[in-house]
Amino acid sequence: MSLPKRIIRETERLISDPVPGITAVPHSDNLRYFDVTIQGPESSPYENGKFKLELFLPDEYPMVAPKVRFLTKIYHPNIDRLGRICLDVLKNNWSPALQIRTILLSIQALLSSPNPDDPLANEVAEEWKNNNVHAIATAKEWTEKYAN
Amino acid sequence: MASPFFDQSLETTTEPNSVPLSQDPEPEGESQSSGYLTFKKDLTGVLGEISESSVQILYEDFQNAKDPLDKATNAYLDNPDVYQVIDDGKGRREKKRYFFTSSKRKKEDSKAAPLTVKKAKKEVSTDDNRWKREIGTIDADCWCTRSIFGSASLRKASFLPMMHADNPNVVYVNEIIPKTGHRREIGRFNEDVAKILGPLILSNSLDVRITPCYIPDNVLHIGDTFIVQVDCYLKSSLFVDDNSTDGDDFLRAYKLSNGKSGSSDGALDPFTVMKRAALLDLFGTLRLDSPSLQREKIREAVDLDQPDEQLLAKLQADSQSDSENSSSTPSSSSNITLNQLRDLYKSTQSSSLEIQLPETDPPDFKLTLRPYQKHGLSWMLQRENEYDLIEGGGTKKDEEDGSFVNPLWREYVWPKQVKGSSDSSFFINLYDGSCCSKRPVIRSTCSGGILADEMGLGKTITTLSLVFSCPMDRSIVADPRYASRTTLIVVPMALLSQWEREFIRVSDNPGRRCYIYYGSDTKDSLQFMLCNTSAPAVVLTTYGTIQSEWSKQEVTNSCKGLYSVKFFRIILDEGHIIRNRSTKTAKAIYALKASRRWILTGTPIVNRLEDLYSLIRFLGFEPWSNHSFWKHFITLPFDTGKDLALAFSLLKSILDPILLRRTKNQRDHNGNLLVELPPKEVVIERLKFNEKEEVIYNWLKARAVNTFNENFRRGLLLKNYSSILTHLLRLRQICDHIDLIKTQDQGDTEDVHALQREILNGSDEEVLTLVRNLERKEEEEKMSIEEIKEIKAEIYDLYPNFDGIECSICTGAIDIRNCVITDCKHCFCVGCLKEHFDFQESHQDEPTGDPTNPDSSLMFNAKVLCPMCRSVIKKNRLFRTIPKQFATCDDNLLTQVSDKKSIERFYMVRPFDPYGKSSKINALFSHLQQIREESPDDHVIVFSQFTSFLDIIEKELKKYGSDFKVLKFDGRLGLDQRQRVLESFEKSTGNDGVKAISVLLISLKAGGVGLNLTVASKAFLLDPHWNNAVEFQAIDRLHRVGQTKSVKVIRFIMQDSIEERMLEIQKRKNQLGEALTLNDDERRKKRIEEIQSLFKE
Repeated sequence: MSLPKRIIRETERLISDPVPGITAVPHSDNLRYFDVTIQGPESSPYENGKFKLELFLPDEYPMVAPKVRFLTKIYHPNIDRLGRICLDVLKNNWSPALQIRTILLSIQALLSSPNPDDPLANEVAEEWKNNNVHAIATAKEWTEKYAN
Repeated sequence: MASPFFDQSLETTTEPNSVPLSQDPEPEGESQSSGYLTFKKDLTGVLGEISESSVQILYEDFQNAKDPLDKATNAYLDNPDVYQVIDDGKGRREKKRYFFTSSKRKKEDSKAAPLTVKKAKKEVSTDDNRWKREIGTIDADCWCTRSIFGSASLRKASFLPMMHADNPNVVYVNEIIPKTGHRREIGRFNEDVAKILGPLILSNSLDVRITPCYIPDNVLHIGDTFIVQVDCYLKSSLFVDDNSTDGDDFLRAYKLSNGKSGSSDGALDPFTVMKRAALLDLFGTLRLDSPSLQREKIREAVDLDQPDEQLLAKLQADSQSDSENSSSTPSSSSNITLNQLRDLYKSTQSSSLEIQLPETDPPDFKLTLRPYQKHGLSWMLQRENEYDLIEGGGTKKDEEDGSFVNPLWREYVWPKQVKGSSDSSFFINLYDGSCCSKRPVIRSTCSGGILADEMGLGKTITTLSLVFSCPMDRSIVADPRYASRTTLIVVPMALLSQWEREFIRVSDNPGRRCYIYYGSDTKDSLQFMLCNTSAPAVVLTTYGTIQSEWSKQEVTNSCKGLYSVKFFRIILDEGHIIRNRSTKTAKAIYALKASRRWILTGTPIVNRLEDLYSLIRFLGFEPWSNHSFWKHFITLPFDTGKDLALAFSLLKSILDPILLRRTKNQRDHNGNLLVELPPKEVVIERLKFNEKEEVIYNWLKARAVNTFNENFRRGLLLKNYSSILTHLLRLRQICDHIDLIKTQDQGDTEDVHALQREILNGSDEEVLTLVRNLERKEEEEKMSIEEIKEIKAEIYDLYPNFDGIECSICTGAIDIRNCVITDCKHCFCVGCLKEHFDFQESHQDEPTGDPTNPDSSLMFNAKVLCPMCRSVIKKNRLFRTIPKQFATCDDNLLTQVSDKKSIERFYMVRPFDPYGKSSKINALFSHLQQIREESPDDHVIVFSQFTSFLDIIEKELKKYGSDFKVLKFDGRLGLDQRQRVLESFEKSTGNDGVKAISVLLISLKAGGVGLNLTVASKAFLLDPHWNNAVEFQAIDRLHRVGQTKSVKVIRFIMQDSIEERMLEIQKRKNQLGEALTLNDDERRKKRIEEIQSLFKE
């Protein structure tokens, strides 16, 4: 199956006009598979961290959302131990008008504002709500430990 | 068998036709003549008919002996070279006598002679120039039929065979009593030997010399066994010495044998059959060498190797394609199996490869022929005996002169070679048992043949090159009714103009004209026109014209029009049209007169060997054009499986000289493919019904399943076959377009007659009501005029133009010809938004309504959000943009929005009609749009079986104005129109000279065969046919010689519909290999099974 023009256009733009703090590079043997890095947002527990993610565009893309997963260990109420992300635009709120770029920005935003009320990692969410200081300290600790 | 044994055993019998001898001849003292006559009489009594010369010599030598008759008999039999003299005049006799005396009396002269005499027992004397030749010896058991005392004496006796008066299978052994010359029966051959010897002796084909071999001492009792040695000599009467059997002789012999039995079905009389069997048994017993038999064995061994799968598939396609068309030939007799057919094709193919002919370039010919076409031309010229026209001065070679060893004959090697004789072997006719010492060859007598090159190899061009190479009969014929300068080419109506165009295209000589004889009124003047020096080189006509002229002629019994002249040459294009010899068309074609006859066909054997017969009949290829002959040798063996190998090699030898077949996959001597065609890609594109179609389809399907099950339960399937077919037809129509069910269009159904009008019209009021309800509902949900006006105004406000606006789904720029705007005013490509709708609809868990209930609210209820703003969007609340120049007055009526900028704005919007077109039309149009973007002057062909579907597409495409040049080709067009359509299609520009996509809409039936559409490289098959060979034939219109681009074909199939089931049936058919023609009933049963598989869930 040939690569849809949309994917080609998106890839070209990601390279020619990159989003600050985000890189996304397709694999040369599979242009639907991207190596992604996201800089931890400023004034968040993830500041100065460099998180690796993988992004895959399924055949139905853009009718369905890309599949994105953290590869770097991260302490976050909406991201589980396997790196799976709980984000509405990756699920029900996906729209074909969204793009790789916008999705990655959404993920970056999620790092700035965790949402422990809609958790994926329940223990982290509990900690986040009940012992916020400790949770943020752990997040910083993990960032230093894994995301450098 | 016991009775004749005893009847004869106790009596002394004499040969029935011999005159009983009352006394020993006493030549002394009597006059020469009376003594001679008595001697002759006695001698012939013993030896049968012998030549006068032999009698004379014997008389001269033995008249003074003690027992003249006895001595003469022995001498005759012992020294056949001396005494068995053929009557051919005194000289011979003198020589023989001299020879004899010299050997007997003058030792010095007898160096080689006696030896030769012993060895070469060839020359025999009878009255009609005959001879005999030894073929071997049998040791035969005999039963003693009388008690003989002192039987040891028999060991020196002379024995003669003796036939039973009535039964040819009973042979006695007689002893010649030395004293009297009388004969006395002593025994009888065992049955196995008697069966061999009897018929042969009786028919004077075999001479035997019996010598005692083992005889018990003392007494022989009745029933005792003794053994004799039987030396066998074939007699010349068995031999028909004609070194070639051309058709006439063959036929005469055949008729003769037919006459004997008085039957016309080609059966031989029983005795000839018996004789033939006896001969073959004898050769078997004697273990004669037969090179041909050995070859046969080797061939059989070789044939066991793996079948060529590809060829197999190909053949299936071939045979299938025609079995569909030939539903009028229901006779199930003489079907041939696929394997046989395959073998046959294989062999005819390989033999044509072996032909190493020069390449001939035709004169006055604009085109350059391909090498294999040049070979083909040489072959055709050779078939017409035009050797001097073949390049390199093709010389007439004996072996290549169309003479082929007649496979009806089998070769045997003489067991003993004779000095001075070149004959080392002889041949036996496996049909009537006659023999021949020279190699029998079939000399083909017809001028012409079958050019059976595979489709797409340019049979037309090769044939025209023949016409240009040899346009007229160069022999001087002064027949006022002989059109010696004209070739008549008979073609199917659809190909008439194509032939004419090809003729004009290749002709480099303005003097060569092509005249179309079709529906004109030149019937009376045809002879005048053709039989002079300015006659056209080619007259083109159709099978229909000939048939109607023939029918008229049958009535009026006058020779008019085409029948008033004898043509120089007749060429039948698609010659398999006449494959059924009992059709009017075939008979009409047979009745045409011509010196040279040719048949062009891609499928010489459609499915029965009888098909081939009709072609051979037309060619006048004797003796095979005699039907009973053909039936006996070809059809029956293939039917019964008896003598199959013989029939097969016979068939091959019939076809070898007259048939040339090359295939695309064949390679020339350099190993290159004959035709390098660009690649071909056939893609199946599965489409989904839109909601409206789906509702109607499901409703129709439920009804069809109900009807089917009901009929199946009551066992009325066959009876109500036509109504079931109608249901199927409806389903197929929905797959194309809802509006088709409002028409009478049946598509290319092969069961046209089965579909009755009443059924087509009657019960479908129901479904029409359903459609109307749906349409009403659709209407209700539409936006009101006020709403439309409002949104239009907003859109015009928001989008003065579309510069820099992109579709957020594909991220490409918006093209206003292809843009749709939601009521939340977001723009998308039509295709992108449709994909979005489809995806959302199929991924939302909808409650499935009852498909049989038209009121169920299955339609229009999926909740789809705008990709941009996530507000709910509906298909019937969308707007379409249209470039202003294509806007019709409808767009301005009622909903016209007046604003200042309308003049500058270059587009308009109109409400989007989501179900107005069918899913297939939508898919087709989006492909066409894409093609237009990539190559705006391309040629596209669109096939459908439903002409009314093509009508709808034509109407829709015309809305696009000059972007598309739309042409339509179907059975409703007259000849002139067809030609105009094809010519116009080949031009690459639109009517006003602007670049445009040329779209040719063709009904599969009208355009599936023959047409050459290589100007196009893209095609769409809108609906599947029951038989995919038909579809492949259609594809081959593009993918053939002359095609320079790679061919892309898209077949549209509606998902989860009858069309997918049809694909399965096609696939299964291909696997099974339906080479068999079934009769009507069987065919229906078969179809019922297919239909059953259609309805199963």
